[in-house]
Amino acid sequence: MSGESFAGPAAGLKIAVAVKQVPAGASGAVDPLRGYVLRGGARRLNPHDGPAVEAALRLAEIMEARLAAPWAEASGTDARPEPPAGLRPDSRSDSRPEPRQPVGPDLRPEVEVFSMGPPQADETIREVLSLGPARGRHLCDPAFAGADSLATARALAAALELCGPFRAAVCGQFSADGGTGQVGPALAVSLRWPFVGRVSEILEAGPDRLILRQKWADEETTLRVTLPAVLSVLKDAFVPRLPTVRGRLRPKIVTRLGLSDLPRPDPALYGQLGSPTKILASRRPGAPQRVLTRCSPQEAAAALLAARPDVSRTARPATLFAALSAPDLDVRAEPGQAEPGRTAPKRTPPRQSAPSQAGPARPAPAASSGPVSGRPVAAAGRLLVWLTAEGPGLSRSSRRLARQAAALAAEGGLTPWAAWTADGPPDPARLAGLGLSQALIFRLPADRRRRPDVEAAALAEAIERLKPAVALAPADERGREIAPLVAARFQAGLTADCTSLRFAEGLLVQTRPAFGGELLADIVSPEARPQMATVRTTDRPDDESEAAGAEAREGEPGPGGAPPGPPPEIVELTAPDPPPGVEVLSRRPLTPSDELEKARLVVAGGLGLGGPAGFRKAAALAAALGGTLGGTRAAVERGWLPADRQIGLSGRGAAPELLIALGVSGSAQFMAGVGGAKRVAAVNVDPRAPIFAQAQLGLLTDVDELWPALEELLGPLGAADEA
Amino acid sequence: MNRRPESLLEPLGPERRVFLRDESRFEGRADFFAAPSDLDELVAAVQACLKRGLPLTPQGARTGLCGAGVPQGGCLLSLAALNRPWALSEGPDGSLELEVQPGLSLDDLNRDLLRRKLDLAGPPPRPDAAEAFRRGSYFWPPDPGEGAAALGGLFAVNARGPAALRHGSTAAHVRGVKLITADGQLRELRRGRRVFQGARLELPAGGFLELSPRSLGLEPQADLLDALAGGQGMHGVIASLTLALTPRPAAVWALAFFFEREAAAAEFIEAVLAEPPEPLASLDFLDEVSLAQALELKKTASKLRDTPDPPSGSQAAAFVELQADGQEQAEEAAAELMARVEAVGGDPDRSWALTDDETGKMKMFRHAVPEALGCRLDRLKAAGRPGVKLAFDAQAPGRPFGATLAELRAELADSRLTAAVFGHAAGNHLHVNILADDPDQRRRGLELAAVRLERAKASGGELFLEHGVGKIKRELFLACERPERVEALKAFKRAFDPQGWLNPGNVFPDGPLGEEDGS
Repeated sequence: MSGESFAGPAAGLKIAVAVKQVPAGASGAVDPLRGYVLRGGARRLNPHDGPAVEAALRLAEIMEARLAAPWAEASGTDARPEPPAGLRPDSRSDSRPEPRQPVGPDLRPEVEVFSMGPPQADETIREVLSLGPARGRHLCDPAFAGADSLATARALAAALELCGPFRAAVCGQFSADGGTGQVGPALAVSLRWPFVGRVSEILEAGPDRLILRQKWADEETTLRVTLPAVLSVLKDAFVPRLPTVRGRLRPKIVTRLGLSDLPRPDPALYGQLGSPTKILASRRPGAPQRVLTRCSPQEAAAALLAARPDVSRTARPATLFAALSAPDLDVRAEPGQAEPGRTAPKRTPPRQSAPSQAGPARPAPAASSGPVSGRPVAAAGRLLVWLTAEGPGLSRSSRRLARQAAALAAEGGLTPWAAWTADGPPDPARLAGLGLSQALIFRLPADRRRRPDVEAAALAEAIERLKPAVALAPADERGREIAPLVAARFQAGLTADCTSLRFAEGLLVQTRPAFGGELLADIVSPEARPQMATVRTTDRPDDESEAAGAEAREGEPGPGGAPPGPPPEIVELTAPDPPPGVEVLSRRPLTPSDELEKARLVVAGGLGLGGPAGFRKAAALAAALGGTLGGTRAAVERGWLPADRQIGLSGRGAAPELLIALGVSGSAQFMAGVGGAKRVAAVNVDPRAPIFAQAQLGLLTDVDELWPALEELLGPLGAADEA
Repeated sequence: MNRRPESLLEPLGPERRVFLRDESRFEGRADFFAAPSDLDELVAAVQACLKRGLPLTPQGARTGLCGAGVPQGGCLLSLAALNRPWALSEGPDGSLELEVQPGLSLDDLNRDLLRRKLDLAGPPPRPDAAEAFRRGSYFWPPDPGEGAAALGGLFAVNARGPAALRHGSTAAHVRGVKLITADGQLRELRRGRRVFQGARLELPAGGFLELSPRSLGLEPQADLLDALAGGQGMHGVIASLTLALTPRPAAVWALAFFFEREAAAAEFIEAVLAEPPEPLASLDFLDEVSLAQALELKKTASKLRDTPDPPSGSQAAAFVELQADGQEQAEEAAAELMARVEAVGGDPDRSWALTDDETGKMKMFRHAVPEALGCRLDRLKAAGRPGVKLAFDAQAPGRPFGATLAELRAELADSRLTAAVFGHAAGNHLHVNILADDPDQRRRGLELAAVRLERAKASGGELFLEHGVGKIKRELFLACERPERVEALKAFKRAFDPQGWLNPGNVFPDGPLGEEDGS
């Protein structure tokens, strides 16, 4: 799509940015005088949206520079274009826009802020306007209240149509309260624009196309995107500017848009009425169990190893710590009521009691009459799970998700199907024992691998063919982008990042954390099909030993008592073409970083480690557990640890699944840096150390004596001690 | 009291090493450690030290910048566990007073004030005081920028910080202290009870001190509390402080203006000082080296990750805080400041303007400067070149800000030294942190400091006005401070601590202070 539909060459160079006001509690409203976190009724801009505003403003700035001095691009090149100031028109390219005169004020690209929310959201829009956007649009109507991500996207799309034309819309990646990350993709589908998520850099911006960098955990891609398009940006990639004095003093124009202003003022499209998902109930998760024990170094060593997220069974002393094992997707246990000491999932009957406000309950899907053979036909009672190929088999987390999905299907009386894309032939033996009856494999050329838009198109095709009652995708980076694109296409309800799934009265009850884990919400999609969810998985080894190989288990019962697991029947299809608008110019693999911020396990040392020798041991322990090393400011100040390893307010933030704090007292300064840690295990000799108040596992023992005990279990940890 | 007096003093083992240093990176030593958790324990611990002839060094949150809380032997008395607000009451003039334990941090105090919720360790307040506290919105003005600082520490260095321009120093906001004097007695000292009568002051333990308040740098008829503020634990152990609470301003704005020329920043500061807008609460200066230091810390500090870099090519910045009676007044003042930036040839769009709950971001950036300077010392130490911080601060009133700055620049150039220069516009109060990496630079730095301090004295300015002298500035202080001031401070110290039990080695050399000997 190019700019033909617009009046002038640069008329309508408007960029929309969608922002949300969120409760300040979770992420901190601050004392005006001092900067202290204040909980209460205060609300503020979603912290992911400041970067979106910044990206939109930069987009407008680059476009403006380009209007004066257009950007030339040798076709097909992935070289980074020169910055605007140094650019000369390049006669070799015939695809570039015509050179234009310096931009007049009426042609200057403008940013408009859109926000849907209650009347007080007006304040947040004004705050954003002080950064430079031209005007604000506030979607404010009781008819918009209670919207899920799909209904929100619909309303935003309608508002953009009304106020447009726009060349691009920018969103933050998530909201701090809902955290679904679905509004951006759903907005793109509503507008029928291409979507690019995880944008980390804007390399070029002309009136018709952009060159963007997109960052995944394992690779960085450079994309050319035809406008209009929807972008969602990575929070840390665009540090928001601060308002200038002039910006702060400038008059702010905010227009309020109600239901009757929209092109299709049908209340059934928006707000709670227009939302396919319904919240059944929300509750506080059960307080994590805290253990503080005075123990021998041997007990402490065993407990620490049991706590790690990827512990192998041999090192798991069953009791002390079972309650602290990584939260797994458990299709039956009520979240918040983890049963301490339980080591294997128990089969319990499906819950019969669902709250009565579950909406029109559908009859439970009829149990499938066995695997469907041949080409799939439309039939009820299927559960489809989207997986990720790895060579001729599946990635480890996909294998895990497949088993979990199979067990869930058994509970709901559904037939488990899987689908994925692959660039080579599958090896059926490697797909055995997963509990899957059938699999759709979309073959694609290698150069189309790992494209979310291609995967989304393939998943959509699988859904069209299978008409499943339930469709699941992993809640990983790519799954979180694919699923909303597909859900929006089917106008289906989608629940992001579920930690638990179960069936009640034939409906899939999807449990997810919200407000940064302060609440757990049970969500259902009473009407729309498929019922979609992205599912949080952990990549620790499966309960069955992975090393034994899947083949060996053929014929054995599957997980959770599912039927025996032969390899699934495989249907191979050709992957659909990617939708137009996005072209991959280059890819660059990223080595998984050792950064503290990303590590799943962090061993943090404090002064209690006694010196550099202790830190060498701690580093070796971190390496042995697949984690990384950090430490307190006091340790850094003593030169025991490099400054870039410092955790805390003046150092880095870490959000691992498990933080092992060794000889760390736990100052407020330090704890501020590990607020995101899911679990804390602390070893300290001082029972009064504040760290114990924050630790789910407190081990009262001397760190110096812990090393020999750990080495007995793990082998030698680094070089011999220095004097 | 939970513990017997003899169990309050523990030998200081290696696990307590962290208590032997503070933010100055100065490292000390101690044989014993006591961390009392209530007033009775505190008194008992002090008495136990006296009984055993152990000198003692009181310590707060170790955020000090001159090593005043770092012990030089004897017993380290940590007040960190005495960290609760104690009692709320109405003062004689109807204003609210909050008595706090000395280890309570400024952050915790402000959080409680903001929430209007106090977890009092002492007696419940009278209903009228409790009601007034719930109804009103209060703050306590002193704010040196370090929220982790203990309130006892703030009083001990008589902290000022940027907003001293509007609110003065810590002492002005303290109505009373409970002090454990060198005889082991707990004494309650209220503002107004003991003031200088001419050159005569009644001492808490009885008797009189013949000393003119002028010689201590105080106003005539100054209060005993004013003389004790800034005492750095050398005159007694602070067991509690009674703070005067102040109604919160309706609107708070934090502004930063970045200048491409340092001279323009100086002109702007002069213009603002000449005719300050009504809500002006602080006006601070940061030079290019200081900005670079903050940027360096920004690379690693998670708390600064969400703060953008200052506009590139900035040679200096002016940080302003407005405390206004409403948004309108703040807006008017901001517009006025913008016009002044333009008048000196600056670009007002090279600015940050944060309001109310966002202002913390700016403070964090401003505070990153001293923090980064400490981290720099850590890096040098890690590289095998440990050094002692070389910093001093002095006022130079009565001259244009730009002239003072230009003179300093010339002297730094002559001495071939680099320094981070930042400070408060009022009274040309500059902090100079000399980046001395080797002994030769250090020597030249000390020479330059002596020259600067001499000049400040000549202009009638105060030296070492905030942060204290502690251990690391002792040398410079004894060499450069006015001799009559040194003698007056010695006399004041002798009156409270003739034996030299309290914080030995701080400001003055260890041991009882003789009448004559100044070395």
